[in-house]
Amino acid sequence: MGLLEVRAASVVFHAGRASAKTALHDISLSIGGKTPSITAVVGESGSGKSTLIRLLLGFQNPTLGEVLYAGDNIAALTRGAARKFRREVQAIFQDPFDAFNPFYKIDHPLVTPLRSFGLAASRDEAYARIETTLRSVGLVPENTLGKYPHQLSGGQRQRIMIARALLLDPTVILADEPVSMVDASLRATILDILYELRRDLGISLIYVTHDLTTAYQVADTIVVLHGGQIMEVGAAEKVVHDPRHAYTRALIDAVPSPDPDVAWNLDEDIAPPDAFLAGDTKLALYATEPDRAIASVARPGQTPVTAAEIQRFVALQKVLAA
Amino acid sequence: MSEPLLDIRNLTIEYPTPAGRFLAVDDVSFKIDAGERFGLVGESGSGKSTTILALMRMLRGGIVSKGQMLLNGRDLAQVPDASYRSLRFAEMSLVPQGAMSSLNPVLRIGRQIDDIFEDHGVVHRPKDRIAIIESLLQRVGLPAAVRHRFPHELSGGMKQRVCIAMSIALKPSVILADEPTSALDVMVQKQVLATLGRVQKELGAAVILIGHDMALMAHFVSKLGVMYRGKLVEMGPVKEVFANPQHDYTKMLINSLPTFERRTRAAAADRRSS
Repeated sequence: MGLLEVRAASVVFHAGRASAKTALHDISLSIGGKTPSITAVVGESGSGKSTLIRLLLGFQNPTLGEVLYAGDNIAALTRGAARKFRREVQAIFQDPFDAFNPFYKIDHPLVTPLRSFGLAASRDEAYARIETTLRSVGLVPENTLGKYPHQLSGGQRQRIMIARALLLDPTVILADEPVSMVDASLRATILDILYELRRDLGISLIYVTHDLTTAYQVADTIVVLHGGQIMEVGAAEKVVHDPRHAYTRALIDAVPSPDPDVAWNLDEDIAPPDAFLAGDTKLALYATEPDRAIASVARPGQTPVTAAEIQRFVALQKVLAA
Repeated sequence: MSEPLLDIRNLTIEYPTPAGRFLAVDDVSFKIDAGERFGLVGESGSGKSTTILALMRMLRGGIVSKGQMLLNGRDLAQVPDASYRSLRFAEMSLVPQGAMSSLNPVLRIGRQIDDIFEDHGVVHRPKDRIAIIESLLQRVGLPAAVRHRFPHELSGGMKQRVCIAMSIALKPSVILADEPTSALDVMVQKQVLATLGRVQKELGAAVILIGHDMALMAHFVSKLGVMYRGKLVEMGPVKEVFANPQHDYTKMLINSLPTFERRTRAAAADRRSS
């Protein structure tokens, strides 16, 4: 079982009495545990990816289903367990310009969590720990500490966000579009850092993005989310190089190749986004292979699988291969 | 050799600041032929948007301190402000960066397109005007009924297409598109770009596409210019720029393009060692 688990969760938003919008539809995911993993959740605007992050952080209660951390429902944790959850599940957000209070030096958001979780006995101990962590994300403490957010670049700030999360010894990091607002030249460096967290520290990662290429670059498993439902889930290699669901294929075709000689068929028609959803009909995931499943309308007589099962299979394969 | 449609010569634009003048565009020259697709890439602050805003005479606070801009052989500096207004949309039009925020939120789409004709003194019979607006919307792949909608009722991609419809209303000879797809999802981005390419071809207009995504440029433009810190550091046919980039900044832009072919350095290293 995963450390952080989403079990058959749905989130429905009501707008007035008449209309309701299902932002997430019967989602099951499994993160961390014995086999640390990197799962990329790929979706366009309105796919439900932000709702998923809020759900995983406990900021949003599921309408149906539950989210478990270490086996306990996060909506009903004891005080001690809630503190542990808040410390061990950390988030990195999209906008490094918005995340810091401009009136405080950058030290403040680093020292405060250490102090409030009682992880450093003294100021010197806190700073020693902060300096080590800053170096681990490629920052020079002397050039970073004591500065105000506006004195640092977007790439530096995003690395401080990662350092802040790391300071608390997390088991799971939820990264919501961590590179979409960072200059192209720095993206690869930040993705490297995220990848190394799993490899060197055993931290599991949920990487939420609209960008299938960066998802492919770091993830073991890719989950393709569309209209609140999972369209395809599987080993990154298979989803990208041999997509089975029409929506995944359309998404991949829409990414221009960096080679001007590879045709991009700008003139061919693209199906409207709704075409991939079966109206209000419920979709279910069916395995095509042990490490991949795609959505289809319910097939009587065939047992559906959950994305969590696929994630666990891919993570296990990874461990066995190593 | 016929005369180019647009001829930018030694364009220099500066902004006065308390710390002295800031050179936003530094001695930039390029030419565009009729119907050509020209791309201008560079990171934020490199001067690419400033260049086309100067063309539209929509600079805020910036001063063209040197150089010439010739459109169809006419020196744009000699055009008084009052006539510049009639030049916009009719001879060159702008598809702005944030289509989300460039439409008037309290006017229906049809009325906003109508304004372009009114402002330029184009006379139609009311029935014809409606038919023209509807056909403009259909040409960018939108239902004719969109003219009754308010901007908030449309998605980002639809709003961007409304802006493209407006940009072609008066059949300009050059369309300036300032990162028209930067806020859109990949699938919508492809649709919007396809729309822009199709109407541009039908119209025979030239396009200047501004952006920072080299991959988009690779598939859309024929000639590419790279701007870096106000200077045009490299220019050539797009395939040549990709095959043989000269400037370090261009090389970096090409090398940092995300692809499905490689993993991050760390992941690649892991795979080699296992």
